Amino acid sequence: MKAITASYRWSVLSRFVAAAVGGYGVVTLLQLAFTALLPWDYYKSLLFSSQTGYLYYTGVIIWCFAARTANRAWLGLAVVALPLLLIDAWYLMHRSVA
Amino acid sequence: MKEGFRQSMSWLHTWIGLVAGWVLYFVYLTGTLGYVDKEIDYWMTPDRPHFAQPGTQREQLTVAQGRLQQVAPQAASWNIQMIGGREAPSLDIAWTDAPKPGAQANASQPGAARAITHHETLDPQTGQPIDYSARATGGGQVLYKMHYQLAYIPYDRAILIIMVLTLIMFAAMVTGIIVHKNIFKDFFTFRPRKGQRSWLDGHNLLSVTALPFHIVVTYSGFLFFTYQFMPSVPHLIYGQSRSAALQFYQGVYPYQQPQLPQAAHVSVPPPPLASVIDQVERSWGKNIATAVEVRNPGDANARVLVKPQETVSIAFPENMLVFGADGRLLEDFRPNDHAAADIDHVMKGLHKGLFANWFLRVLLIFMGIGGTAMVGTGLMLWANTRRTRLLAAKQPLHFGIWLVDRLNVSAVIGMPVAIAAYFWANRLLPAGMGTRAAWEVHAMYLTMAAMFVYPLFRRPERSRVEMLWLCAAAYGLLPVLNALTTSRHLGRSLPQGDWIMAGFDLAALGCGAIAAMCAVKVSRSQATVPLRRRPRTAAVELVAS
Repeated sequence: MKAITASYRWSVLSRFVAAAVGGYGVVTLLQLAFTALLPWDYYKSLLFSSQTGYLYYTGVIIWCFAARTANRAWLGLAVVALPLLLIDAWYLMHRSVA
Repeated sequence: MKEGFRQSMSWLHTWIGLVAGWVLYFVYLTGTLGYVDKEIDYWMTPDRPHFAQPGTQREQLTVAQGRLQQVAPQAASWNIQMIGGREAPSLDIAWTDAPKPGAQANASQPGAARAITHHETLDPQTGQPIDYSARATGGGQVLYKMHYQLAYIPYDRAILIIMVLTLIMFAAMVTGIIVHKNIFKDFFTFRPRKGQRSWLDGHNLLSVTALPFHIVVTYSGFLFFTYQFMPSVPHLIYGQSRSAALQFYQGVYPYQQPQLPQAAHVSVPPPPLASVIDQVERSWGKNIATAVEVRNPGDANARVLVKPQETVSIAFPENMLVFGADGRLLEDFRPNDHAAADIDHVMKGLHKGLFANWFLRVLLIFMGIGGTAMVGTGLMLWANTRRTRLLAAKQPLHFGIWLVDRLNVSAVIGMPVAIAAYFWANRLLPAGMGTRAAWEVHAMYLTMAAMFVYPLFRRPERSRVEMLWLCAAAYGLLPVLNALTTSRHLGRSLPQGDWIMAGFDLAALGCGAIAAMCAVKVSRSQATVPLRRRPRTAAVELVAS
């Protein structure tokens, strides 16, 4: 058995936080982006995004533990989150108040 | 995690499976019992009368209408539940009093007296009410609800825990599929008596044979609490107030209802229900509807509402046939939902399995048990794999393996024993006890606590066999307990055709027999090596295979 180093343990913790918290954040951003982009009533977009949301969440979890390093896992999340953040921010500034 | 995609997925599968495994085992176990929740309700209220020959729906309705016309001709509504589907083991009627003329003016104000509803169970032959007092029990409902609301913790917190576990379960399934190269081959692979190899084969076999079932129940499980788990976007869009939440939910779930008129206050004879059920049978078929509601019976604007049973479609049907005071069909009501809501209904319908007939229900139960065993074998694999590896490398076993070995015995064997204790408490607690239903649950969790403590003080080789024998006795003796405490034992239920009562007893006997077989097998396989030196010899044997 190979020795388990402290840096390995930190890496696992980092990936875990990225998967759990990062995943939650990305899926929430994605939900809002769906509401912004889909031409449906709010509740339909919300239903759609929640019906499919756990597929994306699972995808994020897999990515976080498949990436070569923990930092790459975070980087991947940032690459996905950034455009979503832009879409969401644009939407929140321009939407007509319901 | 540097070894490549499949290895890192294998690592993830192993570890998330371990941390969530024991609770998921409980969720799978109690969730599976949800497929027979009403049958368990029935077994746990043996005081309810059983009717071997209830008569046709037409006869039952005629009898019920006769009684309702006699006791409540002026009621605001009648409800009749006929014997037929899973829903109704007896012919039950209920009526709601019409509001008093004076009370009507302020009925909308808070504090106005609420309408009182009366209930009766009728003898389907004579139409006379039957007086019986059913024992207080949580029944199958409390038991199956534990698979998402757990016990002793606030509901809101429980469902969040369950959502996280569901996510772990789903991720474990997806990673499990990724790890496997030969899903099809696993269908036909089982190599018994090969130690570690057999456990892995068994785990794979259980996983892949019912894979669609596992994926569907897990994924659809998300949809029940998705807004509680991720409330931010709905809050942002709709606001956090109660009215905003209402606006949102009404959009999502419109629950359309047919338009029904107010009472005309013109007396006419009540609607002929026998002719109504004839028409229902002509358009839907026999025994599709088991419940009939009458609004304003005896009024010119009376309406008879007939809904189909749950078994008719996967999405819970809100279809309805509406008949007038003269018994003529007025409307074939079919609510028109949007596609996203339809998907939601179908997913939740698949999860609940209310649509399943008895044959499909048996299949669902077997797949649920398979899922429970899938989690159980996975948990055992974790400890076995590590023990083998450490012993082969001549390294000492660490605390993790010690603990997981014991927790596995506690959970995998102890949780079924705890559920048996729930059934034992139902028969043994005094009938008049005020906190009876609560103590059934206490009995279950006190037993579970004992099951978790006991293996800490025994070698797993011993506690495993002892608890399997306890499990065999706990289930195998349930029919005996039933015979001693009620008059609904197998000697009576079988000749009377009381299939639900008999089915429960026979299933308990079956569970007891399986536990006994496991006990014999496990003690025999452990007896082949001396107990003291068992780990080391076992390891050599495992490595060799």
